[in-house]
Amino acid sequence: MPRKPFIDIICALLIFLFIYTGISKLLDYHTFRRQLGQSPFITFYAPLLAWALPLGEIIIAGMLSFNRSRLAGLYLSFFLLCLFTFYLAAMLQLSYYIPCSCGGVLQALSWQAHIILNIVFILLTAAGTLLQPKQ
Amino acid sequence: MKKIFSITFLAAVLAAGTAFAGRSEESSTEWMLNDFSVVVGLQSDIKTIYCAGANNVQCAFMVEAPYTLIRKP
Repeated sequence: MPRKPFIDIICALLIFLFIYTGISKLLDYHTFRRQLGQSPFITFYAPLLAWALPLGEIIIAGMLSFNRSRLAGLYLSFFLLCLFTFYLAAMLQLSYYIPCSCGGVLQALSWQAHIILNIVFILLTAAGTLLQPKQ
Repeated sequence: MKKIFSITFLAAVLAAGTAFAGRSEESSTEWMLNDFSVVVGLQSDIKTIYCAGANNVQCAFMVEAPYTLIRKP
């Protein structure tokens, strides 16, 4: 199977995920910031993260759009998704009674379903990173 | 390059459209709570006001599309 279409599909999925969640968070900024503020790990950084996280997602989506920056975008996607998953796992273990600070319809997912979704995207990103030609 | 850009561009446009459409639709969405009362509002607002807490038990569902759930402890 040719690599290129496979990488394109992975990048398109990641772009959809990051743009959708990024814009949803920005559209619902006040709720997102309030929910981040309730999290025991990041209360202090909530005002900064409420802007940085959605903007970072949109920037990564932009990097994935172009061949020149695609590999860096895939590495950053992998890092961000791993970070989200680690955060979700920590919340499950330590602070279960906290609302999900997710964007859009992802708020309706349970913690477990969210972790599974993240793992699927991590695997896709890893596959895309390995298949992407190194410049 | 052109083809790659078109696929990713399509994904970005679809995602942005879905996010904005979801937001405008959500503001008038009806939700049924566990006590069978119906409330109207954004999913995030319903979650904060009526369903504070984690996502492990169903708290409310969308009247028009009952598979869309909000959960709480």
